[in-house]
Amino acid sequence: MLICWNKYGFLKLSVSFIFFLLISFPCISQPDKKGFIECEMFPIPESFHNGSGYTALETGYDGNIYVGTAFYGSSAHLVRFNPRTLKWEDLIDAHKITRETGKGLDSQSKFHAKILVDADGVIWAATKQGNENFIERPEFAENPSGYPGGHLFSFNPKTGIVTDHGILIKQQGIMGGSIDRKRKKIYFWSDPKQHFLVYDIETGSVRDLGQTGGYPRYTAIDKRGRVFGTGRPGIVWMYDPETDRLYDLAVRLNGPGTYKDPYAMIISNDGDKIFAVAIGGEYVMEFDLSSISFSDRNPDTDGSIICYHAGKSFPEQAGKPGDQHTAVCGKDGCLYFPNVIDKTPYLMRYDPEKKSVECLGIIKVKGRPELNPLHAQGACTTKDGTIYMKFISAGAGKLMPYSIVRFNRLSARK
Amino acid sequence: MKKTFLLVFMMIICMNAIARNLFNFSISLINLPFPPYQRNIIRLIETEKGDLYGIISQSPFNKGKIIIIEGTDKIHERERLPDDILQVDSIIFNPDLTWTWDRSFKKIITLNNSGVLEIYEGNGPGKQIMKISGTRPFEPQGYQISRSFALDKTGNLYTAGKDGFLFKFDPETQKIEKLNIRLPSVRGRKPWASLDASALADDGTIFLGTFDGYIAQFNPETQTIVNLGKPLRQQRIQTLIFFKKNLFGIGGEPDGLPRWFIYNPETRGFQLGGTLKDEKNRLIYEFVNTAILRKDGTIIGSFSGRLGSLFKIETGK
Repeated sequence: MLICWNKYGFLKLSVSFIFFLLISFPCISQPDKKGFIECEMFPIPESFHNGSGYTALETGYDGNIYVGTAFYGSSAHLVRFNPRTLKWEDLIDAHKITRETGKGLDSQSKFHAKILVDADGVIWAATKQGNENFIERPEFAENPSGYPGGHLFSFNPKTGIVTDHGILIKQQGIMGGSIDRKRKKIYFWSDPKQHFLVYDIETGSVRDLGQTGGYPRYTAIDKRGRVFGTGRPGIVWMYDPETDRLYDLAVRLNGPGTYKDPYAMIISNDGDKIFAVAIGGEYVMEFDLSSISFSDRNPDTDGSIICYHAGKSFPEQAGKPGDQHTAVCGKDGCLYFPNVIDKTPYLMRYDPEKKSVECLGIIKVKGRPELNPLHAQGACTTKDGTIYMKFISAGAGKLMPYSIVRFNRLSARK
Repeated sequence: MKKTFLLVFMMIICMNAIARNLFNFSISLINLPFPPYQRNIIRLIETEKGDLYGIISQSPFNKGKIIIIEGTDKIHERERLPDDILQVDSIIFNPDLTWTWDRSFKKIITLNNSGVLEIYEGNGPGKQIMKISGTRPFEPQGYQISRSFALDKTGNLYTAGKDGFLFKFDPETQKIEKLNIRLPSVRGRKPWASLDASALADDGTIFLGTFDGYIAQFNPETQTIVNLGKPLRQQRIQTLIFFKKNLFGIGGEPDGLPRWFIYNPETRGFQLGGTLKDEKNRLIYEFVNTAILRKDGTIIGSFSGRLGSLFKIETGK
């Protein structure tokens, strides 16, 4: 909106503002009276995937949405969605760039790790093996030409140059993902051995700090550059860049219920807290980062951290918790997450100021009422508070295409 | 023809029964009551009285510690090892040294990172015996250091030096002898033929495992060695234990998965067990630091790493 100030400036601004409100209000995703919340769906072109994808979803500084796909048995892609033109663009074909030819479990078939955006706008994405056999791990170590290990890629939107930074750890996939833009470090953990990896952007070197003991989908980084993730049962691990080591923190629960290890952990906008949800978890969790103590610890940990059960994670009428695979912190500071209960996808919002959780409605796709978007795997927020989520091709009734969906300005600042 | 078929069929049934008995083991993991980075047990010792001690290596976050393990739930820190076992802190907590006690536990024999064999009879500097290890081709500082000493029934120690040659060392007389025997290796890999693990059989035979993953059978009396082959595709033999007339081994590289095997000296056959799994059928990913056969017939060992743990293998009756 262009505003020119002159002697009638005040009037012009008012008119513009009213006009803006009139045209934008209907575009804001809002719960309707029937208990539904609508989103717009943008299917990812079928040539880039075979119906699935994971945490890899992020907004670039250019306003585009970057999506990592899964292509089981073949090559995963990093693609870009332009919300202005609604066009998709293929940026990275993992096998084409790495010149690998692995098949089946030995292929670079997932961009699973969270896509990271550096201060200069460069996009970082990493691959892993797909369709794992979690019991036997046949791709691991038995065959010398098995899964080579996950690659780290960068894409510079200004130049369009893609760089393959190589395999970070032999025969293991790359998961998690947090970036410290000040220190120029990227943090991942390896699958299946759950080792914590520190990648130095400036030197291109990688270090392995050892086992973390957990499988967190997300890792969270606070304003001090400390990285957190789910560790052994009942434990949150923390990497402190000042001491360059990992700590295991026993979780002290404050609140009702039983602690369940989080799956999605999201840093609050002020960087002081971590919000979290668990698969089948009854509560939205809030970890108070000021509560970290090294004097209060279990014998097999380094310290402790307090977790508050902030509120029930599910709508009252559903009566029980469900599948919570992803979450995102909105521009308004609230946590948004889908909770799928008995094949019904509810969109939930946790307001940390009010300490309350509310259900925004059952997620419905605009213009496609027959679709039931069940499994959100990734989420991100744009500058204007719009929330994107990534749904895989699954669902009850008519199959939902693998898509990103948009909740327009849902989390715009209050 | 029918008789032959029946005989072969019966033999297969019998062999399967034997194999089932041997394969019938379960691994249970024992959590250690110590913070991360302070759980890496690098040596286990069972005393004559049956007490089980563990030595946890030093790390940037830990000076190293001694523990006593009573059952699976009572694990305590101890100031020192028992008085009748020599304790040299600069040696026993060092994760990068190859070392062992002599048969009497009064001396410690080490192989340092430059491949020099030394003997310690108390605190203070050790006595240098001889440089035995060599470097790998085109790596002037790349010493290929054996990671194990083998003990025979009379108290002699054996390890491998440059190009895989075995050295015999008598801790009593401190006499060292280079034997005209080499660990097995393929052509061109002799400089990598170091000793990774060993086990003493009841009849005095010593089983040896090499860096490249070969298993050999060494007779200290006749000073003969037989190459038994390479049971796993991977390099490294992490541990060897002789029990119930069979050799039990775990092999694989530190950045791979541990895999186990059994060698039966009577049939001269290997049986491969695959990857290791705990009682909840979860894969075990970390390298085995050490394992011993206890007097009660159980195997106890340790997995390495930041979250290292003990493991116990019940081998079945």
